[in-house]
Amino acid sequence: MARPVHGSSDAGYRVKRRALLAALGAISLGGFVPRLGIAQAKAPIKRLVLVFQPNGVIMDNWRPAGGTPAGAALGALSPSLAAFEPIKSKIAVVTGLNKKSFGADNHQQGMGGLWTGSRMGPAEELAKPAPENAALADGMSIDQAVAQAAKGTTRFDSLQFQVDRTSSGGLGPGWMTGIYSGPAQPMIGENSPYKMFARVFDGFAGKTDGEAAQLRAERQSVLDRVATELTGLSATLGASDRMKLDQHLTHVRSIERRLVDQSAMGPRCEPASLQASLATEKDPLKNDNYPEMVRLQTDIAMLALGCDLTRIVSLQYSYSVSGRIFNWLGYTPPKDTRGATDHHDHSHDWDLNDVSKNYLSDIDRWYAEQVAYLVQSLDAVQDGDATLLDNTCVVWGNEMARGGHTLDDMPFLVAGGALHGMPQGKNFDFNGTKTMHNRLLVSIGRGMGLSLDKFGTSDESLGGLPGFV
Amino acid sequence: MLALVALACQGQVVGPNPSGVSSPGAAGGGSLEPNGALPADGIRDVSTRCEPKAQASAEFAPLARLTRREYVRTLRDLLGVDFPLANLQPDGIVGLFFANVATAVSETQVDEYRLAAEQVAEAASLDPAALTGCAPDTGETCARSFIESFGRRAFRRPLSSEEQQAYLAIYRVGSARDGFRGGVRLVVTGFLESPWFLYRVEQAPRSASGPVKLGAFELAARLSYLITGSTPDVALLDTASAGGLDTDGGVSAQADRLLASPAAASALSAFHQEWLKVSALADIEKDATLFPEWNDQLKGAIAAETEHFVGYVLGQGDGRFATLLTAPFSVIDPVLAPLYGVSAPGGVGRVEFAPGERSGLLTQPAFLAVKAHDRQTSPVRRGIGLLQSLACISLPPPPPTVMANEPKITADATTRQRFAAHSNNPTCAGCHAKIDPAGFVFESYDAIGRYRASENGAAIDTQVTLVNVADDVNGAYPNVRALLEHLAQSQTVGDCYATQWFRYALKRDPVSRDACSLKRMLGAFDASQGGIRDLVRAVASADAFRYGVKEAE
Repeated sequence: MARPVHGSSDAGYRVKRRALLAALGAISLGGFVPRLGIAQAKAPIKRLVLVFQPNGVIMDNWRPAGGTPAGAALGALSPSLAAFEPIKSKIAVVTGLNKKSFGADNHQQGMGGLWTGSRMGPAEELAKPAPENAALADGMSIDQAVAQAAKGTTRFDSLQFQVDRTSSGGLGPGWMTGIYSGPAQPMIGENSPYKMFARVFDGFAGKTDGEAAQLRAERQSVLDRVATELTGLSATLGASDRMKLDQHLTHVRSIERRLVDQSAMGPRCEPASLQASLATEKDPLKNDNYPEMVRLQTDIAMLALGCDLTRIVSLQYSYSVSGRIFNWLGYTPPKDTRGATDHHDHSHDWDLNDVSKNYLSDIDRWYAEQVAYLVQSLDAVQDGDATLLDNTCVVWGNEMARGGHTLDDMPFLVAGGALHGMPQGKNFDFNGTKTMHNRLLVSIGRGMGLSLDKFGTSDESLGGLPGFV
Repeated sequence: MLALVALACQGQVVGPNPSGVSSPGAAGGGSLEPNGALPADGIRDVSTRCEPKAQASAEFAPLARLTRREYVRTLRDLLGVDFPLANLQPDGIVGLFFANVATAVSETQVDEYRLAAEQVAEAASLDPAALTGCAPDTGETCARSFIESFGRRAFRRPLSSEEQQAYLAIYRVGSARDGFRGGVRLVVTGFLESPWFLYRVEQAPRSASGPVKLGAFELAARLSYLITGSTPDVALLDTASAGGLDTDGGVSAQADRLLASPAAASALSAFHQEWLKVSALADIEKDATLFPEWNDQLKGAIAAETEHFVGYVLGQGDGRFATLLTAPFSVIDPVLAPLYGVSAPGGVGRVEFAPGERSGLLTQPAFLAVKAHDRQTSPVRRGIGLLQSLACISLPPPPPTVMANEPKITADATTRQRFAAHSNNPTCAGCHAKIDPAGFVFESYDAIGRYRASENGAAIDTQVTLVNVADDVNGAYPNVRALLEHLAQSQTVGDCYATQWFRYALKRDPVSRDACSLKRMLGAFDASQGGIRDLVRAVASADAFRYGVKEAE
């Protein structure tokens, strides 16, 4: 049941107004509530969500039959994508795209290049083995290109959600994230939903007006001072260090802005609905907490989008070479030929036997269910004349194609984004056409309003993906 | 293809070249390009006038943000608050070591710092009298003195009067809630969000042309983070204030004092954990059927062993690098006794191993278990680990066309036999001829570091012949003990170890301008017969450590 909130549906708005204000009141903010942006939203707002799943997929069970480079109607869904059946008129499955390896390890290039379309470097770092290899992508990711073009529009220009990360230095930072604010500037996401919630809703929950005002004044006084110090210090440093402090200052300014402008908190803000599940903190890095962390981060991300706290979100489920052991599929994870039970190890056996193939397909199906949950939830929220999904372009990608660690025939799924001009209910298979995935990045950027002909490390201005914007 | 791969596998020598291959024109120090690579024939052949300060060896040091470990230890020393390391974003790396010098912070990180500062300040100010040392009702008088004294420690230098006023203003905002306590809380929050706290700011070299001495407080911070892994204590700041770090003797005296402190043992252990990459232990899982004893408690004891052992060698022991590589004993928690097959010490204590069974750090479970798979050993990871950490040889990852899979476990072969496929496959052989012997020699330890004499009923074969590593490393060895005893005396390995310290201390690779600094470090290391404290002291007194230059525009 779609829940009308803002835009043209006045009746719905009135019905929900009381509950809404109550919800908003619960997270703060006394005097600032009247500045809600509810009535102003005239043109529909475009949003972008990038979702990541690691270690490739079992393509035999993932690729729906009948895809063409021109985009055929999406017929029966494949076993791994069955969860999208109820929403398949709003998705486009895209297979057969190629990613360039540029000579890096394919996990690493696949991760760094997924949303940047850029090579990893420098070469002397690429030449080192994983633990001491500090190579990073040489360009910004498409979500950040969009975020930087729309800087200051919402409380957060973008939010990076991550579930699970290695913390101990077994792998360099190039394996940890696909989101970059610029060349060699990785943005590793927040991996704790508890901390993410505190960030997004800023600790004002349960405070009286007076307390909230005091807290705001306190934070303001500290951030002012930090900004002054950064400015003074930056002026005394050389170019590369100045760049670091200026970035830091930019972030402080942005935090200050959201602190002052609590009013930018839009409708549909019901953090109370999540607070119960967040009440007891669990270890976000523990293997068996993974499904719960995935769900919590996804819920917080949707809340942030729904509240218009941000329009750009990345949801990174684990990371390249993820070793998650899927104990929650209803059976004990089988052992691969080396006796291992984890995702990455099994992915090396993807074509050896049915044990690994079936387990990996179930993992793919599990990830599909998480993305389908996100997509369907977005579709259940009315946004003006359409749903939140129609106004949100969701792109689900993987750092590699198969467990075989190849970068051709990359699996993507685009959901929603009707407003962006994304194809709906289509099945694209670009196999044999040597089409680079950079062109999908171009289409994502164009859908969000950027004017692009190429993106990432790409000499040719090939434009968007055929059949896309 | 074979030729290409074999060529690529010369690897990247980082630091002094251990190969001993001479390259004409590179020797003689004076002709070195200041920013060029180190001389190809090794640091020891730099024949220059390496008089101190004559041509102060210094290089631009990029602004460094505290690593997670530095941040956590600094908070503990400043405020007595234990902040969980896992709550912070992962660090960047320089070589084998954690360092945040290459990239800017993300907004997520700035927010993390902000939330952490609020949490820590809240906890630290629960008892404001204890934190500030004065009665709560003294109000602003005490606030002023607290800002001055705490600020000096948080910023690692005295505050200007402008800064004191600014933090007093913050105190006033905070005291509107909860009076004195609220004011102190907000002041602490402010200090912990400041760039002067989060970064190790070094300004002295940045306005001058040519190498200049770091400021006394900047040097104090370098000394303290190098030796204790944390912020300068009050005594060090006082010494810096009084000009006590302006002389060589003063620097040495403070280095000695810090080296004798309990914090040093823990920080020097941390170097060795990063150096061997065993800090990854927390993420290591093992097959529950084969290794039912593998749990968080055991992992904790394994991680603690590195610290206990290094602390012991540096404290009660002879403090020598060779002992780290060859000790037939360790210092363990009773939890580790069954894995070692020794009787449990009462509490953490020294245990002796059967003759020939163990030989120092690389034969402890931390290294052996991290560099292994979850069901079987990994001669490849162990071999690469040894070559990286001890010989400073950084091998390229397998070419993208190669599927780097561990071999299938079969009941009728030993791991060594299974991994032999590498040398039978010409694509792999180029690199693995070098890697695998350095790993096979560890086959007498299973995937969690237990000693074993046989595998699948076949006797373990640890005989190896190392090739293409370095002249004083290549050769045949019957077992790991023989290899490590030899490596402990190898100049290649000693030079590499010293260079690793250089990299750790300065968060960068050495360049040719550092040749004299390195040469003196090596000299001190040799003269003390491999004394680790002497080496660290030599790092602390090296020109490269005490001088800086402005960034080239």
